[in-house]
Amino acid sequence: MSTVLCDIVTPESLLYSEEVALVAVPAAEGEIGLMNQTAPLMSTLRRGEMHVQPSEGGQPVRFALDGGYVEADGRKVVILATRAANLAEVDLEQTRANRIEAEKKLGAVGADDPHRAFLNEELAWYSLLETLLSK
Amino acid sequence: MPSLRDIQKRITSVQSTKQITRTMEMVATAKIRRATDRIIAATPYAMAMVEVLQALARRTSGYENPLLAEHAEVKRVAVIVVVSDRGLAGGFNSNVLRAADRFIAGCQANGVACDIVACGKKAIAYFNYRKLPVALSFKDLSADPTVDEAREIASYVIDGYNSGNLDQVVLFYNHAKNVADQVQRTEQVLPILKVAYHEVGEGEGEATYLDESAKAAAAGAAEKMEAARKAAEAVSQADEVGGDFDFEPSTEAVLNELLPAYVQTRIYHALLDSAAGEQGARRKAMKSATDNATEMVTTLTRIFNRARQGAITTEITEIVGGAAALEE
Repeated sequence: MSTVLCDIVTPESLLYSEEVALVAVPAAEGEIGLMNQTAPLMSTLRRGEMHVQPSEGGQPVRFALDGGYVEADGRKVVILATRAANLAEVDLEQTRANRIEAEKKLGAVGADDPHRAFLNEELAWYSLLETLLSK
Repeated sequence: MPSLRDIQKRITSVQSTKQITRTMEMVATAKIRRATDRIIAATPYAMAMVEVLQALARRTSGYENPLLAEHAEVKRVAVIVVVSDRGLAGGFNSNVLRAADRFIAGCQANGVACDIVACGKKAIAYFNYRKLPVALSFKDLSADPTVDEAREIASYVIDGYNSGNLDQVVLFYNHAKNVADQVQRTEQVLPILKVAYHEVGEGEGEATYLDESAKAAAAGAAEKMEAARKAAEAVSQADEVGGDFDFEPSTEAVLNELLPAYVQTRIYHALLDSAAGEQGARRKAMKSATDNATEMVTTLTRIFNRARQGAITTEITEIVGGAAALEE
């Protein structure tokens, strides 16, 4: 069976790099699946869930994505994520605590506070993690 | 002439100082390695981004993104100053702060307002002392920069630039040229084009503080970063339409996503670079402090011995003199 190399990179590090059968990502215009021999594609990604299937019919590995873009050339799929996390490695309780913390901070800052843009992002990210984990 | 006991006390004190500086030197050496590892971990992203940028550069021509457009009039400038949280690192902090201060003074003389983003306690203390308002500040992170920090700075400047509050964004930091040397760098972050890079073509130098195995990887990354800059510059100029990628939803949309990420990566790399430089500077400063202490101990020991010998000689002379007087 033909596989495709899937790299998930974040600014900090290379998060995941494996030969897989299928990569499903939340592209700008809906979820797309990428496999070996897919036509070369470059797309922006939405905030959401992505998963990879290590082998056909196998158990998918789920990741949370905070936007970014994907580049696929038929042999390799590179996902450049602003932020990404393997859902199996994230703790729900901790995430919930982080989300509540972010909400609190956001409530405390003024409308034109320089931290505001950043806090909004934080909140959205933790909310996403929480939703995906509770699923 | 100081007494023997005074000299002895000095020697002990210099020796314990030496012990401290030597420990700090060793700690800094260990931390250089950690900082280097972090740079290596960050390279795959930079490389992948370059690939995308290059593919885009081939496809987009004459497209204007707000982050590429220069504002007609520069009224407010964001100054990002990256230094360390701690001192005892030679001229590491003061070089950057002096350059930033000169820049800010120049802006104010021309009636341009400055928003200061201070990274590192030393910068916060400096600007507070100068009574310059600080828009955003970060501390306790200089030895351990995170993407979050870079992301927060990036989202602040991009927001400001898009909304027209900011007309230019400039970054001041120390570039770790190699283990021993740091060069102060000034880079324009926004607008992305028309960038006057302070030191162009220094790509080969960037990796010299890494050990052999890491060198190749990082040198590649440095080159790629350089290529990324060129690619970004080519985005607006390239008129050749090539490449065989399908862009979704459109090349412009991908570019719009990419440029903020590019800004963030630039800032993150400056933070990492500065962190590596800080440890290098500290190691160098502590090494010369240790060397000076060693020299001082040698000198003091010599003085001590001379004083002791002098005392003994005086004593013998006195005894001999006394005995001779008795014999007579």
